Amino acid sequence: MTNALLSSENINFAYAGSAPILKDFSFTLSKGEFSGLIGPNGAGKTTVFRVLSGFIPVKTGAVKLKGKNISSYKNTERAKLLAVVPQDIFTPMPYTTRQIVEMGRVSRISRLSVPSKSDREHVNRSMEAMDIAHKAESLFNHLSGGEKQRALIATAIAQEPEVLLLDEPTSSLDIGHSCHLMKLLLELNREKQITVLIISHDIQLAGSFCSRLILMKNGSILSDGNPQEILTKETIKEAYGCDVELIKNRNGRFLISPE
Amino acid sequence: MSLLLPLVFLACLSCGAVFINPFSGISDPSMKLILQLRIYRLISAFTVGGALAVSGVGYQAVLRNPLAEPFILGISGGASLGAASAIASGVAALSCLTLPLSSFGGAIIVLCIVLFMAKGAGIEYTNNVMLSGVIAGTVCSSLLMFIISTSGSHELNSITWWMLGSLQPRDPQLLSAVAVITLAGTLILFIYGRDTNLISMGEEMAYYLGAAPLRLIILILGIASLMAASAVALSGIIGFVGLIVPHTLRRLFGPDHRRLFPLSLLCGGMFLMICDTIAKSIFIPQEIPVGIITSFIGGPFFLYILNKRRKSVL
Repeated sequence: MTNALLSSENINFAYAGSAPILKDFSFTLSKGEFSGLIGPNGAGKTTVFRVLSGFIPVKTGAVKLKGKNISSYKNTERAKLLAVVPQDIFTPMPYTTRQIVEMGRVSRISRLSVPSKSDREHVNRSMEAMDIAHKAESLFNHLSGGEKQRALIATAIAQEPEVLLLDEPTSSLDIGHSCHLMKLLLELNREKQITVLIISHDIQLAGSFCSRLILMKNGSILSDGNPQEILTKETIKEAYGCDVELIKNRNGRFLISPE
Repeated sequence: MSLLLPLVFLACLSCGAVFINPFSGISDPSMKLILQLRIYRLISAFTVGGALAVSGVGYQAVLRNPLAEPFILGISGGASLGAASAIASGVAALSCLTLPLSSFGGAIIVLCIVLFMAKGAGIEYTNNVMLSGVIAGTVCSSLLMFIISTSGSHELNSITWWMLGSLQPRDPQLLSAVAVITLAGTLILFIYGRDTNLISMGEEMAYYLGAAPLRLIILILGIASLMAASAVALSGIIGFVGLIVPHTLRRLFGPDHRRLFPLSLLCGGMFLMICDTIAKSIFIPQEIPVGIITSFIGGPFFLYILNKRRKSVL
């Protein structure tokens, strides 16, 4: 495929002394996609992110970013193409939100120089895009769960990446904040052409916003396709072991309800 | 802040057993000698205070624990164990560089043991590093006791001098070596200040933001250890500078390491110059070890930080 941006081929991975987490994991993310990675707890979703970003080096198979092996990138070069927002971040240091977002620019600033005007503008614009600019001078550790998520996404946007991976960005958010965040991400995807892959436990939400869902179970892909194909009674039962009822709403989308 | 430095330097220069006005012409040769000794001692205090404070900032960032400092990780213990073995075995007398080198060696060995013991702990890594540090420190001090109990009175004297910690430099070459290490170390850490910010967010986040976490951890811990070890080699054990100076500066100027490293060199240096001047002036003619003054201020401050952390958790 010519527009493959990030891909993995036959990845097998296990943490030392444990059962395998990823088995023959092959997957391709194309330019401009807005996709969701779903699956039950322990399916290996977070590990997929660590492998795709090269944080965990793989012994078998290959991960390629823009056709080039991820491990052959310089760290700073990789960070300009690929940004990851982890699930939770702890720092004992009293950084302000602005200082956290500025960290997104570090890969673009030489060690011997100071941030340029354009670096500062990028930081401001990223905070505005994620609706967190009003908290710029507040302490990051004092922000609410939703504000922290938006600050971390602003940090990722400040990297000006082509691919953005987000690990459960809505896990600690209520329905209002979740929708707000998903809409902001969709805007980023459309306006800045950033390719987005989101891990989500909320299959309803993922199904409503993503144009493609990848369903994982026990370290491999169970099914991959558009939400209508993936979110069926049978696949949900197979993946999650839970009986659900699908109710069609007036937009033709299915609502998932436990039986 | 750097404007304060000459003021503090001059103030400390004039205080002591006899008051000297550094601006008046000095003709008395004995006064000249006193002044020269005081200048050496102040440079030594500045170097050691700066090195310990910068080292503390580095440790706290990498280990992501505000309570980390070279002392708690057992690295000062390792350095003094190395130095004590060098004194007891007589290698220290061979050259002025063997003492700091063996103290550095001791520190690095202890650091490696601490990091190795904590390995494989996964998510609890930083907590385990702290715990391993305390254990390594205890082992070091019992080995130190063993060396002390088996050494002769001359060596015993040298080792005791060490343990008390004194800023009176014995060798100008040693002083300049430590000063060069301190300045060069601070400069490198300053250049890597933004990377230090990244690593203080954790290895994974630092990687995503474009850093090489492992290389960075080794670099920062290595430089911080070299600085702490050489400071201990020059002055013996002086506690709490590496803890209170970074915390106060973070409170005043924020946690950006690009600012924090040079600031802690300046303020750590000035803090120890002042403490040392107090230590030698408070009970004239008796001089008390400077470690007593720093710990006297540092101890209550440490408890205050602990309490503050507990409050923020509840």
